[in-house]
Amino acid sequence: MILWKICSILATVLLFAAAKRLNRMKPGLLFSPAVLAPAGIIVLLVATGTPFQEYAKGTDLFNEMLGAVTVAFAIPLYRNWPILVSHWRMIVLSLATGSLIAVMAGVSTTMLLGLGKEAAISVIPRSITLPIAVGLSESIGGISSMTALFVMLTSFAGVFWGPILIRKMRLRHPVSVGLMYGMGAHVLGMSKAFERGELEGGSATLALIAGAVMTVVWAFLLLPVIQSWLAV
Amino acid sequence: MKRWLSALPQILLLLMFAWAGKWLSAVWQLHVPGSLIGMVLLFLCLQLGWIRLNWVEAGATLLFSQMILFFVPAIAGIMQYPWLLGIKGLLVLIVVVSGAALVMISTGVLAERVFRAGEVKQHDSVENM
Repeated sequence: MILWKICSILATVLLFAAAKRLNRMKPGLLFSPAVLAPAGIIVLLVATGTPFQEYAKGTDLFNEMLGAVTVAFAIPLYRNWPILVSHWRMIVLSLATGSLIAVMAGVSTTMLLGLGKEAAISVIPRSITLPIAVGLSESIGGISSMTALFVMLTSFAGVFWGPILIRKMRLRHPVSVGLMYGMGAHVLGMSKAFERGELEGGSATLALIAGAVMTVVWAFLLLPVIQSWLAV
Repeated sequence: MKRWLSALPQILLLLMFAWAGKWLSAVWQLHVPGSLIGMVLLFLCLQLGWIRLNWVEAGATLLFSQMILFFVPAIAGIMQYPWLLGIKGLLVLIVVVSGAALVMISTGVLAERVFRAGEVKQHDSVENM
């Protein structure tokens, strides 16, 4: 078992390093390590006929590390706390609404399209950053892989929408821009927001973390309702 | 590799917070991700000055820079759902892309509204004086 663990972790790390190198030569979303490395793993598993569950058991160390990453978000939260203190009304109100809409829109559309109960639960955390989303998905009974897919697609979409929406909605305040990017596109949006300025970046960082906390609160409050809907 | 070794104690400290959070979540049956509770704990410790920023900073920076690596197994798990490649996958894409726009519009517009409302109030108070 130990040997299997070492092998699966080593294979993942090597594939990731290779994907990173490839990405440096050929930049772009499709060639990002977040797409290439998992694709490599899938090819490897299919080629060797290994069931995914075996591989997942071998790499549970990475799940622990995701926990550490989530804890580490306390540091940007601590650093950007002054922004939250001086703009708390704006931040709390817009993030509470944004995360509520993320949950409601996700669940209702997946249900309307008949994608099934599993997908509807897994879509709830889609508007928060991946490490926290995976944790939340596990604690509310979703499927972490599906959540990961939803989150990644959401952040790609968010980066695409960002500049268009800023223009159309005439966002003037740097905090609004940051909040929108952090809520809509997570870490990718955060880096986009930092390109525009320090305050934008800082508020995007806050949106990332505070939005996650609020989504957890909404999920907690709404889960009984959603589950009774899904049962019908 | 050397960076990893020097940051290892810091990463272990972060992991300890994650475990503490997980334990609390299990004991109190909170159904909240334990790591998020760990995050709140670390934030409180930083605010209270019990933990200094430079005790965890290097480890956190390293974790953030290599974060994608830890997602690889979770993303590879997509292979269990081959239906995502067909028409249903396309529907998922539509749901996500339109939903993302909706979330961003509501967040941005509301933040801007609150900001402008505050601006108007300030004007009023100036005029009233």
